[in-house]
Amino acid sequence: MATYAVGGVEKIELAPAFFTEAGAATAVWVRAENVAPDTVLYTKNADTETDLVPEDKDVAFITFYTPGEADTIVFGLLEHHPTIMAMLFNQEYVAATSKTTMLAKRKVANLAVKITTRSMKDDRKQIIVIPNVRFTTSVVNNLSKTALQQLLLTGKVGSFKTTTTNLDAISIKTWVTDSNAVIDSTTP
Amino acid sequence: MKDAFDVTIDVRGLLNVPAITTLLSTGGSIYQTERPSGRGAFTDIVINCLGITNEPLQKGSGNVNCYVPAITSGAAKVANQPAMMTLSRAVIALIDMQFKTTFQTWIEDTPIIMQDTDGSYFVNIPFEYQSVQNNFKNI
Repeated sequence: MATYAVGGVEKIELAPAFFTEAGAATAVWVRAENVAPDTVLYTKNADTETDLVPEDKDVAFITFYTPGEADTIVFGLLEHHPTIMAMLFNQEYVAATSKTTMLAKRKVANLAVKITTRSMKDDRKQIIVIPNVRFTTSVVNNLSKTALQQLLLTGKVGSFKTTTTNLDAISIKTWVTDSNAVIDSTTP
Repeated sequence: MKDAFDVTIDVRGLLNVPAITTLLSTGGSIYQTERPSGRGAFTDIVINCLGITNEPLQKGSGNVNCYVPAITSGAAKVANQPAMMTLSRAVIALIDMQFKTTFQTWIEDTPIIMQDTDGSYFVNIPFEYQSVQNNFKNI
């Protein structure tokens, strides 16, 4: 097996969230076009440990472990595709007149995210599927003359159930070749 | 993706109209990047590009230099300021705050009169240029 090296983003796709591992097979993905460069950021919030040391001792008597906040994923979109917008907002879209009416009711969009990374090493890239992310949105570069308006998606990563073990999981990462062929890593 | 050639081609397209060509007089031309030597007696426009980025919103800049033959004042050759003013103001009107289908231009700084190495006087008009890429892949 080649060593793992991952970096870059080839594309990002979105679909309605699913809550079991099997849902990945039937998800209908829509590509998020024109992702703002260097905005894709996955943050793994660190866990903490707190030691309790008695006055007359030099070692911890007990240690408290506190899990970190849920992981977050952030990325910016420079293109406002109607299908993607419909996933993120409560809106009414009329294709015949290209008219979008944004409704007052706010929305936390529950979506699945599929990120395909760039092939960085050994002709392999990684497909990262995060089935359950709750996205909120904000706007950067609001109608500036010299910048594109960026729709910033900020997502909190939730969990789904694995198929065989019925455990809580957060993401599925698969190594594929540059041409998306499956890699068999059983032989060294 | 737009490159430096596209910048000068697009800006030349804005200027290659009767409002400008009628001011160039006989033999005057609009050149991209470089003015041929030995043209001190002609009214010319030279458009150059100083560079353009490769980002989703490409940003570039350049100059429009308006050459006008010098006039004689006493024994000295001096810049023909009235003709330069007329030509440069006509150029600015066509470049400043232009929002076209595939690109935008605007004037960055107000023009100044400069002298070229061959003694020709010209008005230097710096402009800014930007364009949205249709198929940007670098994420």
